Amino acid sequence: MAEIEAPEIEVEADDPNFRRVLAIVVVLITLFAACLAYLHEQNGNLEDRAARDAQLASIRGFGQQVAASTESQFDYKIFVQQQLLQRRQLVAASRERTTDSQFASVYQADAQRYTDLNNTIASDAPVKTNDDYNAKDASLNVSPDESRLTQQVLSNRANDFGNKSDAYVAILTVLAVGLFLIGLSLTVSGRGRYMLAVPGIGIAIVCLAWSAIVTLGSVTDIPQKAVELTAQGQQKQAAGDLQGAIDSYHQAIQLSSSFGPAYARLSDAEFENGVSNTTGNQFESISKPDNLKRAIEAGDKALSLGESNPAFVSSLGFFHFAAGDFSQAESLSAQALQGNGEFPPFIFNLGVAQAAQNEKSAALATYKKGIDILKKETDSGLRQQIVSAALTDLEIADASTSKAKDLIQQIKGELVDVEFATNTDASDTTIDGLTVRDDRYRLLAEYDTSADDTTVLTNVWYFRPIDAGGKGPFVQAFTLDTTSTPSNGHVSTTPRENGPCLPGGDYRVEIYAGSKLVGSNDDSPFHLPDSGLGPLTSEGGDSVGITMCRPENWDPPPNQENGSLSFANRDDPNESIVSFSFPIGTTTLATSDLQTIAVDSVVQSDALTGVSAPQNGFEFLGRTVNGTDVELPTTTVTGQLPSGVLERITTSVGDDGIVRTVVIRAGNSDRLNVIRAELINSLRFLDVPEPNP
Amino acid sequence: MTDAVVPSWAGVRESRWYRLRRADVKLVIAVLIGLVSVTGAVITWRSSKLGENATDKDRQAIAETVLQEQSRANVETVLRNEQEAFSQYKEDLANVHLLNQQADNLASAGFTVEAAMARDQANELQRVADNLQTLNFSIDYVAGFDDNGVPTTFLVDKRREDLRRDDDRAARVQPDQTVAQANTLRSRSQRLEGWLIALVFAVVLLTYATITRRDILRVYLAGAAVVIYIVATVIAFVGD
Repeated sequence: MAEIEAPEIEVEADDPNFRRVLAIVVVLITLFAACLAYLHEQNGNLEDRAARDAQLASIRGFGQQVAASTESQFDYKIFVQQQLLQRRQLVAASRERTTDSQFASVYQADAQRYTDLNNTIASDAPVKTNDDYNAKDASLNVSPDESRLTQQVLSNRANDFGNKSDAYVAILTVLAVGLFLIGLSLTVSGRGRYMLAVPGIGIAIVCLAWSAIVTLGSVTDIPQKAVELTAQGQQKQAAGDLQGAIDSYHQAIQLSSSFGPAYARLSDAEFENGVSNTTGNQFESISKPDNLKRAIEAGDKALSLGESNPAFVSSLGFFHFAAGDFSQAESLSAQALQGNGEFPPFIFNLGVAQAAQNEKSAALATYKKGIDILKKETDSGLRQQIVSAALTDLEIADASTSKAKDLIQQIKGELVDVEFATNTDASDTTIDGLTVRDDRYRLLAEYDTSADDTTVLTNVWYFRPIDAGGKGPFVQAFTLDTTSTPSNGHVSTTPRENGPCLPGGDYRVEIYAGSKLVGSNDDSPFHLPDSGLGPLTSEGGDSVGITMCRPENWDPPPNQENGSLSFANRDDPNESIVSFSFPIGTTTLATSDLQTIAVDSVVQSDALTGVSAPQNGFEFLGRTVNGTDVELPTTTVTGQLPSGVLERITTSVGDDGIVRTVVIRAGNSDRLNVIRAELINSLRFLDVPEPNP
Repeated sequence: MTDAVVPSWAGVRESRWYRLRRADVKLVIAVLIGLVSVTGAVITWRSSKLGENATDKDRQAIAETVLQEQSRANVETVLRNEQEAFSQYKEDLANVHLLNQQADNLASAGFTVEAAMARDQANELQRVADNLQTLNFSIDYVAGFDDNGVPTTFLVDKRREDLRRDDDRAARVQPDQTVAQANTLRSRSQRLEGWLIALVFAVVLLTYATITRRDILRVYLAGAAVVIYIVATVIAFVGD
């Protein structure tokens, strides 16, 4: 019998179309998976590239920072050398004016030589003043800052690509599950196979949609111009042009609304722009409500864009605290501590938010931690500022809520005790008759006390600007703080200044014995009116040898002579002030005679008539190298210029052989008195000799 | 109960040629699928190697940038030191001239002691200035002398350029070029990965060719897959 061979006909017990369709589906899913693998690879490559570029940007930024620092140091050294030559020229010129005529030519030649030398190195000196230096330093830091920002942008981009790449891997994994179900369906007959195949196909469809979402998702793409504008904003902020900085940040945001650093810096600049802090603390606490609101808006936006720098998060937490949102403040401050839990201001930001909510044990624990770390701070100036800022924050909390007054006072006492470390244990100490008064742009507190003469009491001062209208929290003014030892049961504190120009406003003092508050003028703070000459601003410094306050509408002459400060009222040219000092030459005359001679020389050179008799007094205040205030003996005359304008000349010749003179002018005697009271009282002649014991 | 009904193939005999042709096409398709898969694996391996090379280049670029920035920091430090020394040198020389002038004036005014002191000071300063220059910077970078022979300008840019050129190690590296090479390698790796999709598409066609009942379609599909395979492979390798 012939062998019969069966034809190769596929016998499909089940639905043959099912397997065919499934085979096509499987290969289509495989094709889709290949596309996913390609996208995974592509995003991985982009991540690697962005991460590498971020590293390159950070390395370049470091190099730029070194270059900027070396250039800045060079500029500063030349600037200092110029200042030195100017002082030498001033000394020589002064000696020329006051020495015997025989040697005058020698000093004149010296003065000319120093002037010529100064001119010689002037071409190397791009900075002429401290402001120039700050501006140049800020501009030198633009490139390094740009690199830092670029690094941040590229890192974020790398993260975005990395996230996409990881998402594709996840999709591939899920897709594999789908393929498994489809494959499994081939082993089952009947309707059961659909129970496996349909979910498998469903998973594939979900993966398709998922991958579409991932692919269409955006990645960080910040225009370089936005980075540049943000860096320029920082430059302006560092140079003190806060409004310019805010404008730059807004321009950057217009170019890229997803650039977190621009919002974070805008937040900081907005807050700073609203601060009217005259206490000289780098940690600012109180800003105007509108600025605070804008600072929070910008900060929240930055936070939503992923900004997580602990300093920024802590600041934003504090802004929320200042706005009364204590819960959010606590949350953000705690978040900041996760990034950096070793910086006391961050810890105190959390503590004050807890204190404001009267979370007693949490707040005390937080402050204890902050105080323990603060005790390790070796920079006493920085420690003082941190404590001062913490006290101000507690003032804000105290003004915002009434439920935590005892807790707040307890913490304030502990902070004061840490800062002053008086080791005073005088819980039964009382004080009485507390009065506060001003003296020559300085403040002092006087009171009687039950403490014995060995007890050290701490006087902690607070200030509220005059534009607060007597409302709102005080700022802790650490420059005024003193410790006092009673004398016969009475304390008269050493007068202290609130910054270079004592601003008008309310002044409050709290007296502590150790950590215990024993007295305060809280009920009736001392009110100091603003100057009769309008807002004042500080002038001078070590390079001039004089500091003083000048009205904002008074201008310096086009060429301010070395070693002198001169200003004239732009609204009334008759009003002016000139102050100068110079070393006297070799002489055998007594200082009182020299004062009279010095006054006479000005009287003659200005052709004064109707000159009053010389009046002796102590009108000038000098400051020693150690910071001690010394009243200087003065001789004063008043006369009339040929133009009819009144002129008042006050001169002092010290034991150190330095002649110090101030000449003020005004159209009438009332204004002359106002100018004397406001401006001469604000003058400080620097580096005067220590007083005799 | 009757026996099971079995189809009878009596009298039915498929021709051998037909059987062979049917079997060979399927066999060829199976072989093609295997070939495409192997080619895909080779492309993946090659892409992976290129990716590794790109990563190596990335690291090299970072190392080169570090070297370059170290050199830059060093150059700037040296440059500013020299510039500072030049500034002092210039001031000293100007002082020498002015002191000599002052000495002449003092001598003519009868201040012989003061004149001698000024001249001594000038001589001392001259020596200090000369030493300062010798120890700190080359006179080659000084330009623009005034009427008294005092130099006015230190050629900062020229000096910086020379310092950078003198730093051989840093001068030899070009991180930007290395970055470009890394980018090129990564693009090639990426392109190879892209051709894998074409190969998988070829597998899709071959799979459909396997399961289709229409012989003519099977041939066309297999042909198209072969074309795609060849084009993709050639471009992937040759185009690389």
